[in-house]
Amino acid sequence: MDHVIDIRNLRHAYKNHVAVQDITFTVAARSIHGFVGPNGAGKTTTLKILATLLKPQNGRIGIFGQDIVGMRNFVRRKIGYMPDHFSMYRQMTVFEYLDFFGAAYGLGQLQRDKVIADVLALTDMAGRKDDFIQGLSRGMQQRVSLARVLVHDPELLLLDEPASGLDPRARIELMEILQELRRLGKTIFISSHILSELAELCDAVTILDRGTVKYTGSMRGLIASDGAESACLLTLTAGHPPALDALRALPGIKTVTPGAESPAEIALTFEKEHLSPNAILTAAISAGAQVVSFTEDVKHLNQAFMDLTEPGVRT
Amino acid sequence: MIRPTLALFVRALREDNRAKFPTIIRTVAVLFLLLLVWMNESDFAHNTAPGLALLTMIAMVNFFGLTITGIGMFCSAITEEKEDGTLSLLRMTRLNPLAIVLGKSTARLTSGLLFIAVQIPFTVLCIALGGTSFAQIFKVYAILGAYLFFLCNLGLLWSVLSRRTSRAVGMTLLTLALIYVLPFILYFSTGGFLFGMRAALTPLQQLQSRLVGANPFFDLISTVVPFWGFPFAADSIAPSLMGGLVCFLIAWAVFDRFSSEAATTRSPRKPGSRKRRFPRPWRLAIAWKDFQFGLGGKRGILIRLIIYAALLAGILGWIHHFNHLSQRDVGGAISTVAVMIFSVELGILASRIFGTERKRKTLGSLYVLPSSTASLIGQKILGTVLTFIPCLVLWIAGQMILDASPHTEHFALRWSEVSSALALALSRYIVFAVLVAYLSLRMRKGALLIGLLAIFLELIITNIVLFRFVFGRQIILNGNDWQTAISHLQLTVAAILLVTSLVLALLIPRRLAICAAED
Repeated sequence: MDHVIDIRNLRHAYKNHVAVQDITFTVAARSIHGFVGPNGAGKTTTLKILATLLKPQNGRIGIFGQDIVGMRNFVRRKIGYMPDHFSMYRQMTVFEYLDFFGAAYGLGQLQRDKVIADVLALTDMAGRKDDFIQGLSRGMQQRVSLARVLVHDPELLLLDEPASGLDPRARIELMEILQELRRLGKTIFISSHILSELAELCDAVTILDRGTVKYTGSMRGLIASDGAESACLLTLTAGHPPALDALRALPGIKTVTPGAESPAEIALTFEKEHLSPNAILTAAISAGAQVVSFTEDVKHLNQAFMDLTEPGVRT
Repeated sequence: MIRPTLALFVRALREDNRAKFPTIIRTVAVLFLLLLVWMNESDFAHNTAPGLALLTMIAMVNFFGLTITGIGMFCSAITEEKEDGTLSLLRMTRLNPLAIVLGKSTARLTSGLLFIAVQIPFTVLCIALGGTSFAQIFKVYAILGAYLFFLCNLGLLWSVLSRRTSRAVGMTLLTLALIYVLPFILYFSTGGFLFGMRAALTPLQQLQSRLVGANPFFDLISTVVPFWGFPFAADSIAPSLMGGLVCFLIAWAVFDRFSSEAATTRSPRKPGSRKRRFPRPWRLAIAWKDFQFGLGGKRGILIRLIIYAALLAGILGWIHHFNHLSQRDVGGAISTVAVMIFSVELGILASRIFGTERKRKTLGSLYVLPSSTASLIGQKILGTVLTFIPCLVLWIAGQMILDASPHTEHFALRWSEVSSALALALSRYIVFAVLVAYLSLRMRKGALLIGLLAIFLELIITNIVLFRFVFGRQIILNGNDWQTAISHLQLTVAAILLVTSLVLALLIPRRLAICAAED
């Protein structure tokens, strides 16, 4: 199975408001696929349709090769859906909550015990299993929510803005858990309205704006598609004028700007067709500079997002 | 000073003025009055005081209608802000406790008083019909207005003291029962009618007399049918106004203490703070969840059974101490109380069966389980139905005592006569439960209240249609076979109610899907 999700010409409207219009894309197996778009782009509607909560009004959607409408229960066993808000039984303990959902998915008691131990270990919540959900922090509740999604061992995870409202540490920890899940063979379809948040995590991305797909493909392809210019940040151990001269002499270089306060940090822009990041790095090292770090500018991704999406609020 | 104090009040009045719903309700009230006049038309020819009969009906309908709507309206005055987490924001403004308490309650009271006031010009028709005076009409509305004032401030007080509207409603109902119903039961069960004939009353008997006398229901009856002649002086206006004022002052005084962030948010429960572990989920996990976490599972059943039995034993024992109770009295009382408790529990559980999931936004996570919607609904009904076991046990106990009593044969003979009434009552319970469950999927608040109001209206219309309009004509048309006529009519209404229940039940799965997608 190459594609876990196959969406063809999906359209869904709420009365007169068209939420998604003729969208088509696929999600590869055992990948992390980002689903990015500004608020109101139609991400949650698409995810709810994939989770079988909404019926598609037009178009065809296949999950694991099965039609989402005709094979609803098959699809439900294969997916784990985490909504964009905390919907939990707060009077239960973590264990009771997971035990309940395990039983609701038809798992036997022994199987539940094993699965719950596994998912609690994976989400690092084993020590909190007797805590009431009501008393957990937002980050902890998000972990429990993720553990609930995993309790019936789904092959596809549909996560609607799972990092929303989390502090930086909780976000990083969540991303680590998702990477671990990918290693375990899960396919993860994750939505966010911040592209840079998913940049390091995702293999592929679909950008949605005003109900239409603006880009779908690999993350690298997105960067490559963004105009003719690229930018990067080179950090040296100290200011190094010969290296600056060597960089300025490179064919295709547009600007070389050392930091005003820290001359060791050099911002560069260059033409992608004529110059590769490797050539820049080689030139700096050849000139005798000691390189501390070399990063493609994050603003570049944000710029790509801005270029693909339209300004203003959807009406 | 006065501007911020009245800010909330003025805003609420403006909102009330702009909103369509209150105007519709007032219009419905007036139309309902005209309907009563029209329905009483057939009685005018052979009734010596048709105006008085109409006024009596209007007074009773208003009393019970205001009680139901008033509790729903007033108990959420402050708790709705607590539930939405906006009370602390209100407190950060220049609004002082008086402004908040006054603004949140008085606007609702004004709306309620307007509801009463709009009826007065039409009720004056009663004078033209004969049998009543303007003074009587004026007093009826004064009693209702004062009762509404008390109800508003009692609701406000519990709304300040409670964290949740459901708790405020429960405590208000309990307080009303303690003030109005319990003294009435004790008064009559201990030979209260004889108090007036005694020269010296004990302080307890005096208190009972005063409390029963302050009951607006009896005051209304004394006003519209003075010839019934209650043995106590019934004047409820001053006690209602005083009670309302005291409740308002207490609500104002304790507002600060009960509106702080700590008081409005539940402190997190510590690990292991619950003394017991729930049993592991059943194969029907949703039924297990609703059973265990709805009203406490097996332990909840046992506790409620003990409480109900102990309360019944205490009250019946106390009454028996003064007036000898026969075996049949005891059996009948237990069965009746069981039915009353069932009615209350049915309303609460029907509003919770989907309402709680909707409020917590958990319907979506249940809906994506690999089972059908019918299975989801079926499991939720199963989990809920099990919590009625204490009522069932009480009712069976009452019936067993009744069966063992010497008057059983007489009762059995009447069974055929009451079967159609029983069918009507059962269909009424079914339509009420289905309606409340359906409404809880349509609205976030007030499903139970609107369900109660709908049944209340149905009761009035059915009874007027049955006993005054159609029934009267049936007697004229079919001679004296009134039993058959009423039985047919009851079965017809029961059938209509069951069809309504079926239609509503068929709408629930679709509504459930919509709500799950909205979560």
